[in-house]
Amino acid sequence: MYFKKLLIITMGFFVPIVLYSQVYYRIEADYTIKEKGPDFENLMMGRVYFDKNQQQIVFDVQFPEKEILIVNDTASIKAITGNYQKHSLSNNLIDFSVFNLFLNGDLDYYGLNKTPFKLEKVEKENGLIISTWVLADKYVNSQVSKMLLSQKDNNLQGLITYGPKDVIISKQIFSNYIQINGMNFPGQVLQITYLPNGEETKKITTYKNVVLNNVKNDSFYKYKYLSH
Amino acid sequence: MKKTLLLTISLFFASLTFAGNAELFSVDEQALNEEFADLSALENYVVENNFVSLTQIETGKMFDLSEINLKTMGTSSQSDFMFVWDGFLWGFLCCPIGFFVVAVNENKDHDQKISYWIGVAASTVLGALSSTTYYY
Repeated sequence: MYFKKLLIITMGFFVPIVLYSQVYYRIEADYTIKEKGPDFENLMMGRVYFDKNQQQIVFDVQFPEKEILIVNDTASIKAITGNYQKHSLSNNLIDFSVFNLFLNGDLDYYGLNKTPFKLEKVEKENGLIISTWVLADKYVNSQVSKMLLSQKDNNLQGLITYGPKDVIISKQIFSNYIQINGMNFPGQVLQITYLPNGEETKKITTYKNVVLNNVKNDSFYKYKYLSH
Repeated sequence: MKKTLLLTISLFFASLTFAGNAELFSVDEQALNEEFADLSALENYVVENNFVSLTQIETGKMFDLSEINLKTMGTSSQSDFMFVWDGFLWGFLCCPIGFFVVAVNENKDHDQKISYWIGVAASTVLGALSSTTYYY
């Protein structure tokens, strides 16, 4: 009897977690990226596809020109023109993409609770829950020393990244949440990167028509790039 | 009474210590919209015209693009060139073989190819300098 009860309680606790991580494995959305920096401007539009089992984000670019852009942890590849751009830093782009975090249910804390960053303190201010995360593992070599994460109405609202000497190096603001299957996905992400020379770049990414677990469009979700 | 006063003062100073973090997360939406007004106008135009391409817009002079930096359109600020020593040394020390190993090799990436050509250029400049010094 006691064993049965224990089994039911254990299953009741773990089954939803397992189901959540297994049920949601694909996401696609219309996207617009608007970007401005000291000497550049960019507008990109199209539809983006992500299957967490493929470890790549596939952008079906409609503007400025039709292109297939594949982003993985090591490179960005333009499939039609054959342009291959290696990423300058190996920084777990896929694991910490908004798509992967959302599908794994880790977006609320930006996955920080699964990194060497440790929660230092939590404050409540102006309707925001602000938590401070510091790099506790001295053996981890990182330019990032501290992160401030804010939540509003149980959704991730912002993330501020500090570099050496406690200088802010980037800021991300998540807003216009869209509800899909009872979960909230940010309809807009603003990213501000502060450059060492005092200048900054701003990038606004908006998402619309978000679809989960579409069994169609395999050609995008599992896009195979064949080099020319 | 004393305890209550002490607690109130402590809470007040604690709130002063934390003040300002929420400010870091605020965004001036109006300023942001103004800053991106030109790109937003182009975005609306493209959507209204069934995702017409930039080339078509430029060719047909369909939209005023004079305020927009077109050279970087479609690229990303994060796609920086990364110098690769391997490619550079092929260009610098042995460019004829390096041409086949790196420059026309489909398995070598863009950064390696650029690094190869930097190596070739460095080798040529150094060669020209040393020849000039030798003859004069």
